[in-house]
Amino acid sequence: MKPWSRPQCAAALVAWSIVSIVLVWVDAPSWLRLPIVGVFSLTGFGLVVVLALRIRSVPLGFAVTIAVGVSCLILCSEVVLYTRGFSSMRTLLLQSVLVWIVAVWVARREISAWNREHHVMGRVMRRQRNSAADSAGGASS
Amino acid sequence: MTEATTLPTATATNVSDNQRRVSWACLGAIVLALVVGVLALVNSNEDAIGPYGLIEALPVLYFIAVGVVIAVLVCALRWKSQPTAIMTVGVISLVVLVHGSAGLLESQARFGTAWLHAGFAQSLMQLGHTSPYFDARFSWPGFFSGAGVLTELSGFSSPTVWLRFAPVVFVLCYIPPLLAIGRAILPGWRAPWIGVMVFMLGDWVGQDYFSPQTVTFILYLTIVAIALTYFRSREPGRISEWLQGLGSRMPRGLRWLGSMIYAGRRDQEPAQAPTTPRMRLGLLVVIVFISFAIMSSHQLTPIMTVAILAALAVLGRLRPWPIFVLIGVATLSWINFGATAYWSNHLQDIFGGFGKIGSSVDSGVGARIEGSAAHLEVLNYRIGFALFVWGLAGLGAIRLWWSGKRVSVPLLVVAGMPVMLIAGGSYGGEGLLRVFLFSLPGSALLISALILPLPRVPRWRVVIVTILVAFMAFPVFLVAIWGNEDFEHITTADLQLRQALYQMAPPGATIVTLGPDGPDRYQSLTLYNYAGTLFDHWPYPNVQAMVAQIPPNSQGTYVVISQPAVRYGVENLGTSPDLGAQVSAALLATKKFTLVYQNSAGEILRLNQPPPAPTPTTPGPGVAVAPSSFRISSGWERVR
Repeated sequence: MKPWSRPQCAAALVAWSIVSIVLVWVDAPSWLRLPIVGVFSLTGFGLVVVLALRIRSVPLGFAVTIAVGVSCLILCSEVVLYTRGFSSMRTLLLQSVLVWIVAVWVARREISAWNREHHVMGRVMRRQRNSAADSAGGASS
Repeated sequence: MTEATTLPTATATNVSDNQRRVSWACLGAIVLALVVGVLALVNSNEDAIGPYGLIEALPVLYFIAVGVVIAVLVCALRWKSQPTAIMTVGVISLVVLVHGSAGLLESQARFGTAWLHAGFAQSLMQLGHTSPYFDARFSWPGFFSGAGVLTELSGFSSPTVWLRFAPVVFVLCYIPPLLAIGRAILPGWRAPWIGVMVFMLGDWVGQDYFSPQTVTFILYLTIVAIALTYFRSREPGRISEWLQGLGSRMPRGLRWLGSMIYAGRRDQEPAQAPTTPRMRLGLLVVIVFISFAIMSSHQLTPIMTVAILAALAVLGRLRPWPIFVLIGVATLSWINFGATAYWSNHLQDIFGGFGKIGSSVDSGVGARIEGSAAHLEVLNYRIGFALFVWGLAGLGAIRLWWSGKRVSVPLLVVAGMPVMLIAGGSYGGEGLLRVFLFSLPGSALLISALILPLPRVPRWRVVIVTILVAFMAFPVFLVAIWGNEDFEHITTADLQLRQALYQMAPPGATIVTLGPDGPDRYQSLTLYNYAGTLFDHWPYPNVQAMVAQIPPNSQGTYVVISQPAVRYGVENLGTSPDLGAQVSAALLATKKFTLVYQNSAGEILRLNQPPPAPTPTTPGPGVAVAPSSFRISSGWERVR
C-alpha cells in the first residue's frame, strides 16, 4: 500500500478534528469518545507538528507527538480557563483551530496548486462563456 | 560459476530463515510471559500485602514471567542488527508487568495523593475556575485543567477513571524520549535500549502516578531529547571558548580536565542530526511551546529544564545558547504573574531552603528514616538501591573513559546536573527523590556504558552476568518501589468509607482524618474544610490530647478513622495497631461524638451539635447508620 503523502495526512487530521467535535457535540458514549476524541486531544496537534517539521527519527517523532499534543491540551485548556472559564468544548475547538492552521501550512503548496489550477480553469471557463456570449450577441445583431 | 553464486545465497536464506524463526520465538516468549504475568497478578490476593509491600502478594509465576522478559531482552542484544519488534514489545511488556503490577493486583487505584490530584481536576470541572488561595497547586493548574478537559471530552464525569493505569501509560510515554536521548549521546542501537531497560528497572521513586510532575517529566525528557538531537553543537561557542581560556590558566594537573570538557573529544560524540534552518526554527518554537506547558503545570520541573539547558550551553554543547535564558525568563514571569497567590505568602518556603544542602539531605533521608522495623528495612533497601544505581553509573563513566579515553559531556550533564537540586531546597522532603528521578536517564545510560562501552555485539559472558545482576536486583527494586503498599493501597471498602463521608457531610463541614488515608479528597475539594490529620501533631501525651485537636464547626465536624491511616501510623510512627480503636473509644467516651458509619475499612464519627443528638446504637461491620445508600465505584468505570 502506498504511504500517505503529507497533505493527505494533514487532511486526515483535519477530518479527525471535525469528527471529534461532532462526537462531543452529539454527546456520543464514552467508549466511542475515548479512542477518538481523547486520543485526538492528546496527540492531534503533536502529529500535525511532526508532519510539518518532517522529523524522521521514530522515537523522537513519538516523543514530540506526545509532548506537543499534551502541551497543546494543557495550554489551550489554560487559555480557556483564564479567559472564559473551564470548558472542554472550547478547548477542543481551540485545539482544532491550531491543527487546521498547521495543516493548511503543511499542505500550502498543494492548496496553492489547486487554487492556481481552479483559477486557470475559471479563467478559461469565463473566457469561453464570454466568447459564447459575444458570438451569440453578434449573431443576434 | 553457477555454484559459486548460488551457495552464498542459499546460506544467506538459511540464516535469514533461522533469524526469523528465532525472532518469532522471542516475540512469542515475551507475549506468553506477559499474558501469564498479567493473569498471575489479576488472580493474586490483595490481602497478602504486608509491611514489605506488594512483594509479599506477588506469586511465583509473576517472577518467572518478568525473568523471561528480562532474559529475552538482554539476549536480543547479541543480534547484529536492531530487533526493533522484540525490543519494543519486550520493553512495553516489562513496563506493564513492573509498573502496572499494583494496578492489576489491587482492587482500586492506589495512592491517596493520586486521588487528591483527581480532586483538583474535578474541582476545576465543577467550579470552572481555580482557587489559588485554597492550595498552592492551583497556582500551577495546567495539568489539572488538561486532565479535566480530557475527562469531559472522553465522556467521563470524574478524573478518577484515569488513576488505575496512569502509571503504566506515563512510564510508556518515557520510552520514546529516553531512546532519543540515548541515540543522541551514545553510538550504536544497543546502548539506548539498555538505558531504557535500566530506567524501567531503576525507577523506584514512585512518582509516576496521576500527577503534574509525571507529565512534566515526560515533557522535560522531550525537550532534552530535542536539544541533544538537533541543537548539540560540536563547535565551541563564545562561552566555552572563554571557559577554555580560563581552564588553560588552571594548575597543570587540572588543565586536562578543562581541555577535555570544553574542547576535546567532541569528534567522538555522535553527529548532530541533519536539519534545515526552517526545521531548527520550528524545533525552537516547539521547545518554547512545551516549556510553557511545563512552567504552568509544575514548580520544580521548569527549574530543572533551565538548569540542564544552561549547563549544556555553558559547556558549549547547545547552540543557540540563549534558549535557557528565554525559558528561565518565561518561568519567572509565570511565578510572578500566574502564581502570585503562592509566592506572596510562601517566600520562606521558596527561598528558605536555598543553599541548605545539609538540611535538604536530612529531610530527604534522615527525617524519613523512622517507623517500624519492617519500614526501616524498606527505607534501607531504598537508600541502598539508589546508591547501587548511582554507583554503577559512576563505574560506567569510568569504564567509558578507560575504554577509549572518551568522555561524553552531554551524558555527564544529564546524569549529574540534577544533583544541583539538593542545593535548591528540600521540597517538602521529596527533593532527593526528585534528584534521583531526574538523574536516572543519564545514570541509566552510564550503566549501559558499563555493560557495553563500545558499540559491538556483547559476549555471552556479559549477557549472563547482566541477566544475573538484573535477577538479583529485581526483588530489591520491588521492595523499594512498592514498599509502602501496606498503607498506600486502597481497597473497595476504603472507597466506600469515603463515599459515605461525602454523602453525609454537608458543604462547609470540617473533616479530620487520623492520618494520610485512602482515596483522599477526590471530590468536592473546596466545599469542605479539611483540618489536616491527627498525626500532624504527633506525638501526643495521651489519646485525650489527640482528641482535643479536633476543631468544632457549626456546619458539622466529621472524624474519619480508617485502616490505611492506622497502618500508616504503625509503619511510619511506630504507633499501636489498636490506635484507631483507642481514638474511636476516647471520642465516643466524651459523649460529644456519634458513630455515623462503620465498615471493615474504618469508622466515621460526627461531632454532635447542640442540642446534643440522642445516643446511637452501635452498628455492625459494614452497616451505615446514616440513612443513605452508597454506590461503590470500581475506579474502572464512570463515576457519577
